[in-house]
Amino acid sequence: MWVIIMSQKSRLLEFNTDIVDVLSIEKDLEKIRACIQCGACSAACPSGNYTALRTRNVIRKALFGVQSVLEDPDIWLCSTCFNCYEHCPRTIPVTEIILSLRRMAVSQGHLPDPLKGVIHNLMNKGHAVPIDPKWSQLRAKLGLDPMPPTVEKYPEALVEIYDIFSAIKFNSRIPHR
Amino acid sequence: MVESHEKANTDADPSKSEVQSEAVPAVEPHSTYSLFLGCVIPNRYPMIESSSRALFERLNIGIKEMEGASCCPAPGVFRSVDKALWLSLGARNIAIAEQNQANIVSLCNGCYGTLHEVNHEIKHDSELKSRINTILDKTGKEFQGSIEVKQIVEVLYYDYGIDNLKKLITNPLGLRIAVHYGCHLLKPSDLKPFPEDPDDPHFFDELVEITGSVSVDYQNKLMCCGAGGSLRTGNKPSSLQFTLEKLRNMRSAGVDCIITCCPFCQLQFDLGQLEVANELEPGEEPFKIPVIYISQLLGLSMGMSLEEMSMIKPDMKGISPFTSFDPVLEKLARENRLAPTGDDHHE
Repeated sequence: MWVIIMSQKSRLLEFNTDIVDVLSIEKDLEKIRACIQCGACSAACPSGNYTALRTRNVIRKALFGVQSVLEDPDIWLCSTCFNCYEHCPRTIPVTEIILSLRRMAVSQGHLPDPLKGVIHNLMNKGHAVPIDPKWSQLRAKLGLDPMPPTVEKYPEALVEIYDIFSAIKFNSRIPHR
Repeated sequence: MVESHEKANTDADPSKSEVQSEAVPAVEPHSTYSLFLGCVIPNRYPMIESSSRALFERLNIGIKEMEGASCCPAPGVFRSVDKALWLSLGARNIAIAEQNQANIVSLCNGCYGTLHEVNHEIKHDSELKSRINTILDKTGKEFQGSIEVKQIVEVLYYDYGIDNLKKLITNPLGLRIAVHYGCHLLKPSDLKPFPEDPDDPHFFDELVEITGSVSVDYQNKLMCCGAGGSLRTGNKPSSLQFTLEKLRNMRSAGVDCIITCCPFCQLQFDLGQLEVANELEPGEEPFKIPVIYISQLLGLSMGMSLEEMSMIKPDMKGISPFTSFDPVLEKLARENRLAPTGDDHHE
């Protein structure tokens, strides 16, 4: 029964082929066709010890083309340790596929709220974790330049970051607000 | 990039001879790297930056600054959000190191994961490379594919050479250590250029053991700290479950400290020991295991001072380290393991 269903083209995979830009093609997604549902990924998954994440189920839903997997909070419980990929007997890049599903979920409007603050830090400061006066003072006390030689010290570099956001049309493609 | 260090113990660089004490073996100049700092190191764990800079200087490893570098960008959050963003900001950072004409050394597993994989992906896909360079066009930077991205454990063990490091150990520390590798140092293993089995790696343990310490085996030693993949950002209670289990296993094994090679793992264990306080069983002791970065451990074993290794915590509130170094420092002092300071910074 599974074999029959698995041989049909997943709607998720169809969804994927509509996108033409090389940057947006989730090419790893095709590889889930090799999944034999053995569960080695779930057995190796540390998150599965503490959360509802079952990587085997995520792959199965994606394989069946169940769009609801994109709304499933479980895909956000992966810590990207790559154990699943290391232990997959079919060398399916399970971690990459979970990341692919997350990106598809984000493009459908399912961006978890706690991530938005980090995205806005990057957009405003060029860093996910920006500096502030307290940490700058600590740097000085440890004998370092109070401002690290990153975007923090060279604000003109921030213009380059803005140029990149603009070139990839981040604001219009990613519903992050 | 790997050079011979046959003569590492002979003549000193004349420019360095003034600042090196007689007891310290001289070191020949080594390769130069572009130092990628990322976010958590310079902005939350500057002791990792200061101790690593001091260690590199001691080892005569050259450093070029990556001026204007941004977030790597973080492999958990940004890779989960948008591939174009992840690849193009990563490519811009790599392009800065290419202008330096020096391979990248990252002090963070996350930054290493991102930059190493971005570098690999774009180098091996010419269509992607030209698309990325179109995006970078206005920034005046170009991804050429001319450098390698390395992690500090890899640089120390393989590039500098474990045997060359061994010659510099003057103060065996005698500590029982819980090594935490972190995930992205080892995995995905098929992309890594060094021969380490992700289920049975050895290089980080060996690096720790040349300091005259023991890398203690503990249950689930290779398990993730729980911080990655945006799990800490998005679901902290779940992320701390990983940390709590690892802390319990480390404590059962009887260790003096945890050694990391990644600021995000460091934060997860250091601040995490406070954060798991509400999760403890009734009567369970709070955790007070010092979390120390590999550069700090190596520096101390090479006779560098606590101050040079940023292990004297400034008198400020709410700064790292959140879990005190004191238990380890007291043990080292009690056993007379540390280099005599000979200065007026400590009483």
